[in-house]
Amino acid sequence: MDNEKMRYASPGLVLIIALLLLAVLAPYLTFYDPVRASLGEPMHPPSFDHPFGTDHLGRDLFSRVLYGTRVSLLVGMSAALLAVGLGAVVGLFSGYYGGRIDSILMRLVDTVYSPPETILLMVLVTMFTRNVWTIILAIGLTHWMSTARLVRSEALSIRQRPFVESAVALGANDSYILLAHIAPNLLYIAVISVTLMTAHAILTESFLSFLGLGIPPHLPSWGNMLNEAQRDIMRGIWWTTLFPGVMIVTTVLSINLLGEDLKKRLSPNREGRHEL
Amino acid sequence: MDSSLARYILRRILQIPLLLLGISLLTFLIFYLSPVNPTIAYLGLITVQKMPPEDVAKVEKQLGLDQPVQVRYLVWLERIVHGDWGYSHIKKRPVLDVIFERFPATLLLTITGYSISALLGVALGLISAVRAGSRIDVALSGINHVIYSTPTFLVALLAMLVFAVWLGWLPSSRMVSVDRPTLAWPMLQDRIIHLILPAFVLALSHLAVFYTYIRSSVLEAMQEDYIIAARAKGLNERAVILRHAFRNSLLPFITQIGIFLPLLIGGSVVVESIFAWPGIGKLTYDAALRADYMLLMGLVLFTSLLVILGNLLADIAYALADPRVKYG
Repeated sequence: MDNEKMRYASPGLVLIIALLLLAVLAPYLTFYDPVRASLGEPMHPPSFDHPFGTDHLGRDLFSRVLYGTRVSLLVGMSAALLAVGLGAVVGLFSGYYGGRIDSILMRLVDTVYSPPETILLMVLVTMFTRNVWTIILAIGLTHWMSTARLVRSEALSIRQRPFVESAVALGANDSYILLAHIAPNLLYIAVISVTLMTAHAILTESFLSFLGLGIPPHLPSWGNMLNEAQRDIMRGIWWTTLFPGVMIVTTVLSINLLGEDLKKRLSPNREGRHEL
Repeated sequence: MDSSLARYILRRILQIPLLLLGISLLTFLIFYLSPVNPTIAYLGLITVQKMPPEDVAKVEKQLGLDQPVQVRYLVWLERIVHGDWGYSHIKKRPVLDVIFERFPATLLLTITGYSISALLGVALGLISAVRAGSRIDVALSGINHVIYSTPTFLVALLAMLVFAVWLGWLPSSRMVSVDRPTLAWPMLQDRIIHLILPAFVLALSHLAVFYTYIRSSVLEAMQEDYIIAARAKGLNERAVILRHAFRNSLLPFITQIGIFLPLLIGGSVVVESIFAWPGIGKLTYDAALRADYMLLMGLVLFTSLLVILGNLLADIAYALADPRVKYG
């Protein structure tokens, strides 16, 4: 990509900033309580009063969708930070120390990779208690392996570069080399991974909530709203599905676009040698 | 088959026991660390509530629940190895029986979905690669991005709304009609009609991966020396792309099957749950909703085995297909 293009902000970034603003300013942008039911007007199609319509309990969908942004972004970003943090630590240790530590950690990666992610997640959230924090934990603990493999292979190659060897020759200890030489050179992987993982984690949260296995139902999350919208579908009611759905797609799409953009900008080799 | 290939396959197979051990440990640890009461998991809540406490204690002793954790693990592992995967309380039958009964439906759905996805993805990816940078490539890449960012369940809901509710063309759930036809031909028709929506939704959810993969690998192959050689030979562009670039980019595709397998099984959970398709995905959902712990553990083990087997077969197929592979 030429430098001319690089000067413009990523369209993904612009959208994400807009979404963050929506999440923060939700109380000022809405006129209805997102949680309290209003029995007067259930299943109202979109109108001037309720731009996104109302659900089966008469709750304003516009408010719920806006407040849902908070839940989705919170869960998505926290789970992504956890997953990438954990993966980076495992990958660093594995790649830097090699030998037995490496083979034990990599067998662990293989093991956790074996069960399909969805099924492992469903088992975790069923067997342990279910609230926002355990959902974040469950998503984080099932998504660290790809980062671990990536960081490991990069750490392996950096370890053999001359500047690391000279640091070793000068008598630097392991923790110094890891923190001062290897980790900073891998920061770009972490930034890209966190971004792309946030998108994936938002999808995962919405999937779990949609199945009724995610965020507790009293909280307005997009997945929860779609769970409730399921029975409206058979009656041909489209707005309860459409608006939360559009929000998920927009959010995930803009985060993915930002991730792709970051990949192009941050990768040391712009021909795309670093497959992420 | 030469001996180095045989050695490679043997070594690859020898890695499996360790992986199996790891998975059994993982499954057991999740169960052990969770707040789930093991007696209730084994016997079911209602049974335990009905039993006198001294009987419960007796059963706990029988199951080895009073033993230290490593003994409990070994006792559990021994049962698993002997094919005793516990009892499913929601299905009132042994876990393995239930899983085997449901598996063919999932197999039918995933194979159909996978085939549609692969055909469409490869075709569209090839079109995009051949016309890289053109309007059609930009459009296809854009659509691809949107599909990739759309959760499968949303696609399923919208497909159901449009094709089952508004248009009324296709049934919205189950594998066969309630008043199922008994004659062979109408029965087959009935099956196919029920398969269309779930299979296409499943296919669509994996389309992006196939498309991106084929597009980039064909584009990459176009940079290779043998393409220049083929062109220098005077072959027309069509032959260069189809016979050289495309064929070579199909090879690594084989290993992708192994990567797709867990995704497909995961995707089937959503699709099967929404369309009430009686496979192991729906089974997982039911087991999770109604806290059937033994069934859940069995499903983790079973699907992990599938994935390991799929990866093994993909690796072997790749080694067989590509003579250049160094079995290192």
